[in-house]
Amino acid sequence: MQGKIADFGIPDIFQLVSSQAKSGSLAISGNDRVTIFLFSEGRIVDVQPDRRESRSLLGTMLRDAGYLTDSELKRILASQGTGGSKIGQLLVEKGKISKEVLARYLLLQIKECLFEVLTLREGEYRFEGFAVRPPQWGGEAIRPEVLMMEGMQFLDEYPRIRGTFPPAAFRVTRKKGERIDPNAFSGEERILWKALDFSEDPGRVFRKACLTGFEGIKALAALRERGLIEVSSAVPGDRAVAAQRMREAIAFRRRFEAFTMALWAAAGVAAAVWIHRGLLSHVASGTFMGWVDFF
Amino acid sequence: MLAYPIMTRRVPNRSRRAWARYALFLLVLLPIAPSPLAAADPFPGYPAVVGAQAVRVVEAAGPGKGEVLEQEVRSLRRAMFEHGILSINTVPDRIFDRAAREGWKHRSYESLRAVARVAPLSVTLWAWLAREDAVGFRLEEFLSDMDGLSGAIRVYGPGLLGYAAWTVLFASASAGWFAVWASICLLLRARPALTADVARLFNRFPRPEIIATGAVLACFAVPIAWGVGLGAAAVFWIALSAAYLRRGELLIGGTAILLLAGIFLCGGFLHSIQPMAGKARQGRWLGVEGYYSPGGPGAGDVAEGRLGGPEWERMTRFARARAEMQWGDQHTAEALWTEMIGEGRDLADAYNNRGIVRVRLGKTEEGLADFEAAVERNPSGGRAQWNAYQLYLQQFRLEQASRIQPAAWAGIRNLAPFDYRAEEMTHGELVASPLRVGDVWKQLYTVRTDWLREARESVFHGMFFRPVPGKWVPLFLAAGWIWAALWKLLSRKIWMHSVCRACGTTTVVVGSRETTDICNSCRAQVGRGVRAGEEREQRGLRILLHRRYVRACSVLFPGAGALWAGKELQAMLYGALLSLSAGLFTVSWGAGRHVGGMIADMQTDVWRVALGAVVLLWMFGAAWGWRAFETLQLNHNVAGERL
Repeated sequence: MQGKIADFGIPDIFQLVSSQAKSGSLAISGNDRVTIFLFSEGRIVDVQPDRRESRSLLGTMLRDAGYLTDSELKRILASQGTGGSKIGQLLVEKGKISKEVLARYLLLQIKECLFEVLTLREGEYRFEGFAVRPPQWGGEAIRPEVLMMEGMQFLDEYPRIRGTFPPAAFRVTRKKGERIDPNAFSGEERILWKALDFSEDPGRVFRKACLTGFEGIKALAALRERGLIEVSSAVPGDRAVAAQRMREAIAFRRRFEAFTMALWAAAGVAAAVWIHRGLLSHVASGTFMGWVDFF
Repeated sequence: MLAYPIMTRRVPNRSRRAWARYALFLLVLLPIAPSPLAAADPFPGYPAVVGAQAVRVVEAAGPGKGEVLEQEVRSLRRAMFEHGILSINTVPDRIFDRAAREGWKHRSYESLRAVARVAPLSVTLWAWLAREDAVGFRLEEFLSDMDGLSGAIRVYGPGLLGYAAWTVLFASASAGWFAVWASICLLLRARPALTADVARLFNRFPRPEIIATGAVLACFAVPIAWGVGLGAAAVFWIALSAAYLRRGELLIGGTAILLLAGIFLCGGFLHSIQPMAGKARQGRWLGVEGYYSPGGPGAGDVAEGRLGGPEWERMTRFARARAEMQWGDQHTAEALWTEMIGEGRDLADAYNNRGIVRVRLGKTEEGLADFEAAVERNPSGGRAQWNAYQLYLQQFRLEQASRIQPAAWAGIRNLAPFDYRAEEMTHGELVASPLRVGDVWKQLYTVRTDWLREARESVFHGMFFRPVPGKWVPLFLAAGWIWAALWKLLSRKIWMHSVCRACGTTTVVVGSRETTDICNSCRAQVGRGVRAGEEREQRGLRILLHRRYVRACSVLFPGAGALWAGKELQAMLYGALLSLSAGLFTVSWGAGRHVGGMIADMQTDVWRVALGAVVLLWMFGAAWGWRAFETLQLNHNVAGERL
């Protein structure tokens, strides 16, 4: 089954696959990106975002949430390339994250990808039926109808809520000295409030709280209405971009230290030659065997 | 019946004539072509009869020729007694060379042991025999050879000087290795903090850490590229890193500078005895015993050397008189001994030797009087007693002979390392007195102000301290030492960088104390940090890079890792052991490769053992440093998982 999104809307496609309890893959392409959803008996079990959309990749999400460092992510990806295992499975095997965390972030990934494709107005879809076995490390399979409800809400409300925040990048911090009542928070607000300790970058706070962009911005708006947070525009050199700068500094330091080590290694070789000339060369030997003349 | 008459091959007469011509030609040529031994004159300067007998001894040596060799050795010994020669050290050298050439080197032990009686002053021979006994587990022979070795060293001046020079060179080489090891390890230990401080000077520039890294690298590389001496560079590096070191590390640096001062003075000592080196075989003044001088000692020997003074003059004259005595110029020898007796110096030995000369000249009564005079001045002197005893016997003065016989026999047996057997000495053998090496030793080690002056001209100055001018070296070393101390004191008053030994975090501190070289995060054992994200990653990267750096230092410069782990005193002990092994290798390697004979044979074993020890110590030091640093990180919770 395949066609154009303009002719057959994405919610309809998902509903069709779900109602007929089909198994297989649904590839949706648009905006130069291809996202593949895997269905098992009409339920979404996994998603494969476009490689070029690194923001939605599981490894990037976990790195932004602070579960992994850049170097660990690179190593994991390298080992994934040789072994063929999926990154989530590798991370659980290495003990970097628990199965529960993985399940939560897989669900987040599916939601993010679904919301992403719902924004498409032009593009194509293609469904291929085959037997799909749900991955062992994943959580429960998701009913598309439930996600569709959230998706519709996202399409309706997100532009409005996002419009209340600065249009470009912004940063968010807790207000100091404010008394809070955690019982008054909704579940999402409570999670987000805790995660505000993690970073001033809202994107990373949402990742840490394991919320979609839509859920996060909604909770953030609620916290702002309560007067618990401050929102300000991020200007170059601001603390909001400190993380990026720090990341650049780390990358620079890594390269620079490698270069420095190479230079010192060369200096070490020169020192070895110099020591050889001073203590072991033919001339030095001549001096140090002066005692032979006495015998 | 003729069998195969046609096939019988006859050698033509023409061919026979040709062979005869060739044989005749060779017969004519052979006497013209010198024999291998004659070509180089293996025993130059000795009287012909002695030299010829020595050649027979060398030719008689070989596996399974013990009896023949023993006879030849006895004959040579008698010829030596006739000329007042105590030892011909060249004999074992020639035999060993021949054995090496003919492939029975490993079976030359018996032959060389046999010739020890004609070369009792050969330090090399005794050392070689002792080594062979040690390898073959022959304890009794080993003890005997060690006795011979110590006797040869005590009697044979060049041997003693050779061992002194070997000891000084070994100590100097080891000290040089220690200085190099210590200075590089300390500079690498101080490098991160030093780089951070240098970067503060370039704060106005973008990326000051790049400039600082280049500057610190230049501090290390420029002396090397410039070809600066090992000691000068070591002092510079130690002075540069002093402010960032712990007390134990400062002790290592201070010791290295003091050892360099010792090297400088050792250079002066070697320079002062240099005129005596290389001349022993040519028969200069200390080369008389064991190696003979055809022309006697040169008049300018002492003047040429830097060892002046009446004592050295006296010893020179003694040696010259011995040379004349051995050469056979008895009249000159008698005049020289008489002159020395007139001056009232070395009376017992001079009387004994003049007595021998006079007996050779036919003045038996005067000779006997000299022996008696020698005994009177030194009653325990075995040689004069023996010589007097021999003359009494020759003159049938049996009563006097029997009176001194026990003392004479006991005295002659106790003369190490000569192996005199009174019952064999039935041909009126007279024993000469050699120069007392104790006098040489005493003079040599009398502390003189000239040593400092001589040190400036020594070869060690150029090797270790270039381009510092000779007269500035003591000042340079003192300045380096004082600078290190002041720099350390100053570091406790000003803001400077400190690097955490466990994780490599750089912090600026004032009033630096040793307790600050572990950062607060490591003290709190927070691992990679309490915060997540980039900060955590940055700390993880810092720990990772620090670990790589220390591990690289540990492998390339063993012991450096232990310094990072705070084991300064153990590291110093380890550095001393490593330096001693490397010093042994340095002193033995050249001799093992470039010198022939028994010395090369022994030194080859020595440098192989030394090299093995260096390799083992290197591996141990690398592993120890690695492990000690890992333990330090483990204790501060920055190890374990892969960062």
